[in-house]
Amino acid sequence: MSPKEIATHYGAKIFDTPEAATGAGFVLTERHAPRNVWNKASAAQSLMLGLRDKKEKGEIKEIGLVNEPYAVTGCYLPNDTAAPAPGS
Amino acid sequence: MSQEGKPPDPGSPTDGPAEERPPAARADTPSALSADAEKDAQVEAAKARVAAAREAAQKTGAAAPAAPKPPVKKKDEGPKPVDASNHPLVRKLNEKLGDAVVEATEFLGQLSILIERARIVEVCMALRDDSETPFNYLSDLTCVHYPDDRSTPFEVVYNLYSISKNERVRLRVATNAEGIDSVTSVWPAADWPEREVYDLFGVVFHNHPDLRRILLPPDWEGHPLRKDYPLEFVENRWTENHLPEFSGVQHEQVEQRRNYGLEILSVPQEREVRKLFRSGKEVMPKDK
Repeated sequence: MSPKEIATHYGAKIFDTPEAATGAGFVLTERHAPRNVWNKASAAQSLMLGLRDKKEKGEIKEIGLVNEPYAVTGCYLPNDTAAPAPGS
Repeated sequence: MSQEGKPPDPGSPTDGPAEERPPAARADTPSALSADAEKDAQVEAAKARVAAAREAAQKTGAAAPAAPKPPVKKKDEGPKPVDASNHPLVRKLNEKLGDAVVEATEFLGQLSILIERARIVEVCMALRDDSETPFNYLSDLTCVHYPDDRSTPFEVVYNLYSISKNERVRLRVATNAEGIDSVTSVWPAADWPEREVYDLFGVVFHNHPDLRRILLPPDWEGHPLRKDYPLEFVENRWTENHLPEFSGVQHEQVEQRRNYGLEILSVPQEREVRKLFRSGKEVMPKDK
């Protein structure tokens, strides 16, 4: 599975750049820049599982993944912060 | 064969058209005229045949690429596991141990039996001591992580082999990190594989004689074959404790090398690189 498919599987929002994620009110977490696509998928999976657990515990509102060509970064929407309107 | 390279033979009556022949060779008699006409007719007929053949070839040649490709046949779905509750071995286990067998499937002739977690030792003992097919060899013990199954995310897999009967069976036990009973009492060879599963997946084996990490250092944090553990090496607390610290510049250099796919180093190599960095020598002058 590709990072995008993995993120979709866990109901995460996908962003192309960290700026897009932070612009949407998401907080960035770990960033992995692996050497190959398999490691990138593995990194995405590990990020998603960690964030999924946090979401299930109610610590965060929504989870997301920044999928860049050579890196993946986890991100989440905190509970108390509403996402700003697009374009703001 | 072509005869274009040969010089023309003026004496030959059949070479060239009649106008080019020497006057002595021209035939004005009625029989000669009819022979020429017949010949011309044959030539015309041959030309017509060639033209027709060319047209036909052009037609077929032009039609072939335009013809729609036949639809690609979808591959038939592969074989699927089938229920094997009626397998003799499964029936025997059911008779001996009641409800220890949760599910039995067969896939490509491979029998796979899901066992109740609490009864794994009992089942293994029964299979090992079976008089007909004694599974006296534990060929492998491994584990699979299914992170989406929250109650029992791990499946410990036992591959058994009966040397005398040349038969194999796969036992599976669904469990969580709390663990299952060790089968070292049944097959002592399970010792190291169980330690490996504990090391890499974090599944605890109760009653194991020496349950500790086998591949990674004892103070390593995490279990690398779990799905929530990234494949690629990441700096962690163990590396902080055991390897010298990088400066900001060194970190940047390592990051650059990593981005170029150059950071393919084992821990001793990593340590060596760090030594080089500390000594201030040029590691990769080409990068500068």
